[in-house]
Amino acid sequence: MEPKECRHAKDLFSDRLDGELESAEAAFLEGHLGGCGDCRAEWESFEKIFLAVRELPEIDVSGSFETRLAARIRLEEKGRRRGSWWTDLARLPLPMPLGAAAIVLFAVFAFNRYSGENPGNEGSIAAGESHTAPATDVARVENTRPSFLPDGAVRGAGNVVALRYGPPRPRADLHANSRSHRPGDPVGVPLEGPYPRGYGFDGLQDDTREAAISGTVDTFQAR
Amino acid sequence: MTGERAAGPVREATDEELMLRYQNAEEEAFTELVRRFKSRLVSAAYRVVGDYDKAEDVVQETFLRVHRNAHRYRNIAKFSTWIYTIALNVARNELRNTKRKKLVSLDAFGAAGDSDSDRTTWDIPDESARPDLDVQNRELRSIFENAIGKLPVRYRTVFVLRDVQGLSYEEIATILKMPKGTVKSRMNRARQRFRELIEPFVG
Ligand SMILES: [Zn+2]
Repeated sequence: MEPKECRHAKDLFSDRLDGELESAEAAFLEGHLGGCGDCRAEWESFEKIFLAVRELPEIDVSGSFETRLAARIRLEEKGRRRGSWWTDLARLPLPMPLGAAAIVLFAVFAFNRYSGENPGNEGSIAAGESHTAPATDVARVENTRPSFLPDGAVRGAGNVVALRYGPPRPRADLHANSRSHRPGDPVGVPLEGPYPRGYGFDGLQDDTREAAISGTVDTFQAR
Repeated sequence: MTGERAAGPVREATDEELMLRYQNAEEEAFTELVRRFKSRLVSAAYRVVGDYDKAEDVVQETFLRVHRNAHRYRNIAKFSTWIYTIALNVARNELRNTKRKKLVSLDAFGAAGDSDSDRTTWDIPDESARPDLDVQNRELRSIFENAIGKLPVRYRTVFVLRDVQGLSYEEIATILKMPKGTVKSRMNRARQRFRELIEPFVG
């Protein structure tokens, strides 16, 4: 069993290497190394190893690095210029499916509320439903009434309600303002977001990217 | 706009000045920042994620975020701290994704994954070789690189930032958002672990 003093001495090696020892610790270590051959040898090997680690060479980037970066930035700028409220919302650091679902629900609500064919309270019922139901998809309901709605809540055609787990059947007019989401694309997955997909960074998902950057930059600003 | 700029050549500007100049749409300033940081960041990212292509992707994404968030940068933080923070976040996301994929594929075979070690293949040199402690020696380099990759992620990150990149403890504490004391004690353990890992190969 190693003497306690030796263990304590070795525990200080890392700080000694960094020049971070307090004077009392430094004095103890100097004294111990002066009298303990084992620890002295240990220290010498320790120092040698980590001085060598510092000499690990820098790694060069590949020749096309700048060109590829410039291309990505140009693509991103192009996307931003074409950007709409949809792409702006898509930049929010929400988990992507949740964010998309929220946006679609909002659009549904807005459509219902402001489209002339739908006077009265249906809009608010549809919106209320969208708050309470764990809706994952939105479908347009034509002349049918889902059983979980109260009687008379939905009348006739043109009502849009949130359905639980209904099949995704997007409406062209819901996305009329969005150039990043074409009619016919599945709802909830922005296929053509502000970041070009398939451009060398498929490993990272949009939501984790955004979470990382917003976590980072905002805390930084706050400092 | 360009004519009235009295900022001088980009090569002489500090990182922070370059970033402020880029906020004023001076593209050359960004080019200079890329020139200054690309190798440093790829070196760090490579040693964290353990794969050269992924490391380049991480750094591409990092610069893209710098571009995207340029307007958010304030000259109260060192630019290097800021960009390292972004790069480390991207790199750790990359590790998380790799691990997730790996766990899924391991699950398919009913095997358990080592939650700490993220790399799959190891090119371990012959134990009998025992090279000198000179990292110009390719064999020693590969022993070192392998050992770094075998460190648990929480040790590996501080180890790379401190011993390979030579950042200060203050800077690392800011980047990793943890107290300086925590960084130092992790570093202590990281170095002990690193020594144990290379011990069989280095005399
Ligand atoms: Zn001793």
